[in-house]
Amino acid sequence: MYRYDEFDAEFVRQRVAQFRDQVQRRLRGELTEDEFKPLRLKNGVYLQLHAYMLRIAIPYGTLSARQLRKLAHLARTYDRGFGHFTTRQNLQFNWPKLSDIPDILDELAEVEMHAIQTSGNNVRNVTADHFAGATAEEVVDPRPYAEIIRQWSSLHPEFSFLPRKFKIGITASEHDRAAIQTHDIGLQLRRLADGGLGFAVWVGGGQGRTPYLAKKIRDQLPEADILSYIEAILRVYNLHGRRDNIHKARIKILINSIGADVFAAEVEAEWARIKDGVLKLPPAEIERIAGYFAAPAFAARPPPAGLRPADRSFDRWVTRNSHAHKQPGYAIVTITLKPIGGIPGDASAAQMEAIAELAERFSFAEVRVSHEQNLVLPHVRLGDLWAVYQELKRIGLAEANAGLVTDIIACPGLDYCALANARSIPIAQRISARLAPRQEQVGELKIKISGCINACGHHHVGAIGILGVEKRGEEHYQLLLGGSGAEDAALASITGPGFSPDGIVDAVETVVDTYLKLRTGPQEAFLAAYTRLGAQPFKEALYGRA
Amino acid sequence: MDVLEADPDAPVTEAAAANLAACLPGGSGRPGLSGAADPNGPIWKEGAFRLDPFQVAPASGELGPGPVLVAKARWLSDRAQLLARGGPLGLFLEAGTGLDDVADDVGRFVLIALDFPKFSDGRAFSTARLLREKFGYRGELRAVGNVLSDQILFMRRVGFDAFEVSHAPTRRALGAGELAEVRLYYQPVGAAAEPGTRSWLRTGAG
Amino acid sequence: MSKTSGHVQVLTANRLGDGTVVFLNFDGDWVASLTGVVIARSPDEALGLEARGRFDAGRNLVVDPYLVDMREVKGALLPLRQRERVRLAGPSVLGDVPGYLAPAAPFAQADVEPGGQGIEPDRRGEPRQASGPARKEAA
Repeated sequence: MYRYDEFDAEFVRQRVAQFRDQVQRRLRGELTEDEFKPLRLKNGVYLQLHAYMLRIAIPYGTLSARQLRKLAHLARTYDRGFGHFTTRQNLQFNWPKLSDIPDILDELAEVEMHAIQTSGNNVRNVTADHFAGATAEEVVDPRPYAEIIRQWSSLHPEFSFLPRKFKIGITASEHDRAAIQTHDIGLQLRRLADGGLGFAVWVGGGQGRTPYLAKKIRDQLPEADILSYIEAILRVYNLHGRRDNIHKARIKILINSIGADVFAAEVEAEWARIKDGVLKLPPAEIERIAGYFAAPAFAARPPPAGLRPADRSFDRWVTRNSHAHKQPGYAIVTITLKPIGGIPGDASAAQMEAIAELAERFSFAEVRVSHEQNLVLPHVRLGDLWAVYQELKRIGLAEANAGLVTDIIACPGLDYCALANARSIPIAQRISARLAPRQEQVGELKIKISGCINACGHHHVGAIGILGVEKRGEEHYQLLLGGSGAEDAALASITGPGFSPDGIVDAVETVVDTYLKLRTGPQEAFLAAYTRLGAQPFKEALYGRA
Repeated sequence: MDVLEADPDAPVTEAAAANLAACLPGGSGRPGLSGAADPNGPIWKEGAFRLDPFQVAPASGELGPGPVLVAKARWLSDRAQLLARGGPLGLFLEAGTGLDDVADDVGRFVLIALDFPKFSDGRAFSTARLLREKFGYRGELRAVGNVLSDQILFMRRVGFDAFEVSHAPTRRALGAGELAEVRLYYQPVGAAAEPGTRSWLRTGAG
Repeated sequence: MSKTSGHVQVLTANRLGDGTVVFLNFDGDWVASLTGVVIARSPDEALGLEARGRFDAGRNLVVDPYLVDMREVKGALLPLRQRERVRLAGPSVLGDVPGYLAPAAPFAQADVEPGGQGIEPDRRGEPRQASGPARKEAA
């Protein structure tokens, strides 16, 4: 993974010193809240329902064991003993004191971490396939490009006051685990027609109040041109994105309003002017960064998995939670942070430390964070799976439910978030407990829950999506079906009238029951069945015949 | 590039030429007009607060003598008279204003002022770069409106060299030379390539 | 401004330094409890409270002050909106967080109706301790 050199380390140090100064000026009253708010947002500091919240960047979801240990330490020392992994591969602490945050940032800098641009109207964390560098499916590891884009976009003088936040996602596989079509810019790394490496470029995806899937505006962009092309996109957006209405300020609105073709033409015109300038990537630079992401020293022939007692729950866990690795003898292991009835995405300090230890012993000290609020040990020898499983059982994170109906994605919701209209966590907990006994029978089914229209739970691309709203001061929930964030991207459709907190749990079970009754067999997953059947049978089951 | 050479075909009166020549400073090589240093002056430029030599032109009607800052609408409607009048010209552009209809004339201005109507409105950062890098503008590029200390380094890097500052703590910080900044940059801005293998990335403060 | 009769308002904000949810009390202090809180029972009183909020925000004691609509129930105050109930009582799920470390000071004490509206009839405004079913326990 990327290691800071002197420049990177000094950059973060100066940034922390700058923010420390800004915090002190705020506490002294030399900055009003109006003046301070955009500055603190640029350092990932929110004011939430109960307290400040600090969002720490985990670039493209890659963490070292050492970094994970530091996060555990920070959780214990400055917060309340736990952290929350988010749908953008970041980590949130819910209770930091503003006066402590400069110290927290100093400690993060010690392990090459920061909270720069995890909020604010700038380029946010560049997210990537959480199996990058381990899966056989990818053309090459996309993370070097994510790192290059991350550096280039850090404190960019032209693009630090965009109309709105800007999210870039990148994948290098046909099967899109990074949900690039839901991003402002989605990048697919691929082999070009001339044999070189390059990108297909999508723009204008985004969820929130008005969701859109991204449109492809370029099919063959050579890798050397990626920064200049992104700069052209951002410049057109910065100049023409709406500034009058916060709900219409994302690039998706601009593209939908002028059309993707017109937008692409503007981008191409600007790009033509700058493409051969300072932003052209020298191959040596790409190689230099890629060198940080070289594969670890895999054992050419790891010892075979030894004898162990037959254990059906272990077998279920291996079947469900491990994924084929590009290196024979190895597997990619998903640790779902979704214990049955638990809080999606939360991990205690002790759990983080245990996972760090597992990574050190069994995964070349590397961990990943997925946008589905799970963790990944990317390089585990098959012979070590048993030991990993035993330890995960000890810390309560061995549920064999990756991708199943209990692997629920939920934003923090009204329990934490000042923007929320309804709680999402208790809904997730109750659905999980209700459906756990049948989760294997139900199979692959992604439930995504958002506590408000900002859609941080990504409910628009859930096979079952739930949106919490406020109705006459009380919590109320809309149900959506048929969404997907993968390469078969689709926006979920609302079923009809909403439900009470009790009602929505029943409604989800009704949907599941209907699916089980009407599917052609266990081999027909929920999304396929929904595509075949359409919404009608589900609506009838939910609301009765019209 | 000398202002007078911007459009050799344009009619230039003798008086206008004399006025412009008198405005060109000595050694900076860049056409411009700096007011006298004054701690209460509104403009931070070249290391000091200064008086503003420009008068803001009304939307229409008589113009006083001396350097005048006109809005784009007035420039477009009164271009011939303004040029004939002679005297240093400044152009005021609102945030998000297109440049295509003034592109050919940027060389005639010794001042272009770009507005930041709100702290969060960052359109002028792009406009500044286009003026400098696409249209080759070399006069004073002034940030006006909501200018706070935490933006000034960004503004400099995209090509601003003057700042109209009313926010008191920002003025104090500027005066004391105490802007807390991150002086390492991850991205080049500007049209010129920098030497070294890492030309697309990473420079220290120049 | 409360629009419905029978409703009163209190002034809330977050403390600048640590973000704690606080309410304005009769001594003019910002405290993490509804005990002794100033209650506005008329539009004029509400305006006065709002002005006090702006003033104290300007003095950098608190951020983001606003009025909360409350019902008075047997001498206790119950927020009208679910959002404000959660804000008052703290997250409803802390009992389920693995390894949760309770802070030294309790959450805002509130006479939130037990068994009242909401998903789980379990919020009584008491500070949560690290607890929860064994399956979630961190070693």
